[in-house]
Amino acid sequence: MDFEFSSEQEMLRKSFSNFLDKECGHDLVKEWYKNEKGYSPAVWKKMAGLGWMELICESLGNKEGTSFLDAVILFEELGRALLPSPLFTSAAVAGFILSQASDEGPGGKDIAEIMSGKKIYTAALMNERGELDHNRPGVSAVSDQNGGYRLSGTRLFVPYADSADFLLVCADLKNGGPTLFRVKTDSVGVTACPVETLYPERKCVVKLDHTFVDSSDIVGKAGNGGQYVDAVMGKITLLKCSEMLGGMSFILNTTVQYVKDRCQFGKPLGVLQTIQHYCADMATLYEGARMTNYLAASLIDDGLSAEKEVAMAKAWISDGYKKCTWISHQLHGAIGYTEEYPIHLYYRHAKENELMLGDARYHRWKLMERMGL
Amino acid sequence: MRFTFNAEQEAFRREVVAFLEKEIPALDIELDKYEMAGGSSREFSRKLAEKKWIGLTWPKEYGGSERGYVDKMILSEQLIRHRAPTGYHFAAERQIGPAIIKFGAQWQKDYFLPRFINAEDNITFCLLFSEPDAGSDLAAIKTTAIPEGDHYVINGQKVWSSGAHSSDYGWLLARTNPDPTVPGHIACSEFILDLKTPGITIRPILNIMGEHHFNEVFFDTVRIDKKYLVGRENEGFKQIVAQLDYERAGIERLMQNHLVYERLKSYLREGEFADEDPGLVYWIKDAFARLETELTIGRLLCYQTAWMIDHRKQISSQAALCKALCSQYEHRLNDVATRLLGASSLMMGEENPYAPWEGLVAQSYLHSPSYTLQGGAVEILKNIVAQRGLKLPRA
Repeated sequence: MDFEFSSEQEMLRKSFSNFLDKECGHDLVKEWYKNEKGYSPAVWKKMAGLGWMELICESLGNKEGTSFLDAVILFEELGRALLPSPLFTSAAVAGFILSQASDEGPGGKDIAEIMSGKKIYTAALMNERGELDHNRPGVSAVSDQNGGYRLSGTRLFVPYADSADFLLVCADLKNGGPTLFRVKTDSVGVTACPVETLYPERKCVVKLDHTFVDSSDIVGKAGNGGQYVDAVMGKITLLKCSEMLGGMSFILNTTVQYVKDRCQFGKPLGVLQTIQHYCADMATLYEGARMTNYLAASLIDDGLSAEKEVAMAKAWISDGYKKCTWISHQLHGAIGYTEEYPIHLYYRHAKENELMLGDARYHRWKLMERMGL
Repeated sequence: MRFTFNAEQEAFRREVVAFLEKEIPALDIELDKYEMAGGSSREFSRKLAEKKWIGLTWPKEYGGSERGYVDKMILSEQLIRHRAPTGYHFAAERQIGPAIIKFGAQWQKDYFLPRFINAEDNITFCLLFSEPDAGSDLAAIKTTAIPEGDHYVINGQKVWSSGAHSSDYGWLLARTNPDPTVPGHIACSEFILDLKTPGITIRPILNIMGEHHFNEVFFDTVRIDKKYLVGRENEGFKQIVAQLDYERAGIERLMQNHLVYERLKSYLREGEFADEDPGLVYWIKDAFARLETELTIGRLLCYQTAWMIDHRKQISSQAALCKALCSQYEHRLNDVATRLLGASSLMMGEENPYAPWEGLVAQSYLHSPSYTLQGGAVEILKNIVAQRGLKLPRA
């Protein structure tokens, strides 16, 4: 057992946080939410230059000297900074799915494009009710008379679909089951409209209206699309948990600092026992989050199954991060409820990600399934 | 970063499991049905001693094996999972031995440590800390130990002294500076007190279940030789605070009721209630998944604290956070068990044919309020997390 990151891992973390401190203050983050693309292409280029997409794609351990923990650390730092970018959807979600499918078909070249940052992929896996439906996709794929297929259906919550080059879509292939397709976003019949949500990171409604795809656009084997997604869902979910853990860390540190500095009745708020107990509660939620997150990450890094542990992590962190943001708002008082002060971004981030990739209730149910109970 | 056992740790775990699976059933005692961590067997302690598993972390010069606290945690976890009766040497090993090693005089080390490590006669200890007016505020104790020639003369009263009626010795905190204007944390000393010394009266206090664990202990001009002082005069409070961290980091704070957890899990596995109201089925699964998650976290926090001790890190805040989480988990566990079984869980008594699980659940539920109090109330522990961990200012 080792409860500390190695000095190399700490150096790596430092390099991430130095870059993020310099390149993405909260004022910039808020600007990017509102700009045309929802992120900064200039910063994206720099991230590619630093090899972040590569680090994520290679964290699956297919190559000597790569570690899943490196990606965990990166997403923690991203969550602390709340940098909006297509990194998660392109490198982690699409990258992992393509990598999973690549043994059984094309994919290698796509991953190289993701790793270089030159192309952006995004995954369109949620139906109109906001549910992941890759095993029973609500998108239909019908054979075209000239060969190839026509895809039709509506996808919700597709991150950065308006600036992505490709979509990964799971479609129901007639008599063939759920099949993963790669769709060029500039194809005829694809529309991607940004939509307003509680957390302002870019998400689109994507409509596919008889969109033509070639049979070479099938990713992996026809009929195996749902399996590819399921196979990497644990790892994707854990990187999301890591991002949330980073957000928790920001909230804990910012709130503790605030109650040390803010004086009322001639004393810092932090001398009051009620305030101290709120802070101890946050610290406990955070420690629990670290334990579950790193337990699952350790197992994944060892190449072991971690489905039960990922479920615990997402269950605990979904609840815990959200509760920390509630406490943070309570302790900050009115200042925390202003547009200018950054904690509302985390309040929003916590709620969105509580509900994405399965909430606490869903993952507790899954945990029981994994335990055979 | 690696939250799983390495090969050596896993091998040690297996060795411990194999030993316990062989030795516990061979014991000439019947394990108390409800006693989950407190059973006591001199015979079993002797067997552990033969394996050199008492004093696993102690220095070699005192007969220990100088192993790390993570190894000790692996041993403790299995002892408690197997409901091993460790009560005979428990206090001597966990609290008294390490304190003597750290602060004790040479003769105390020579006399007591070999006896502890070999589980010899007369090594049971109780703690004589709390007083009627000094609970969470331990520095407020009033019992005095006043130097008089070669002796200290002790007067006063202790309370909540678990097992004082069946122990050989007490581990006493008393004021050696009687001046009430001097604050307690620089006025107290620690002593080893032979409970057969004249002038000591022990009176039982029955707990809410009518059981006799606690006692009141009265001292009326109890004279003890000065050699029984442990460490330095007036530094006892500091010494105790260091020991409390070790007490809080123990996995027994998480798994005293592990039997309830195991029963609950097999009940769910066997699906006995599968045809019950789907609302109940759903709720109980959700509740158990929460417990499973808390148990996993609590266990890792215990191991993390052990690892921190091995790496010479300050553990006060971590140990406090760990103990607060673990003891609240135990309370919830027992509550969930009662709600799963419904009204029948209220039935008590091993012989009661209507009592599910031999009345275990009602028994455990009645024990529960003590968990979040003993070894530091949750509120005090949160103060420690806030002040020592998060560096919030003191009032």
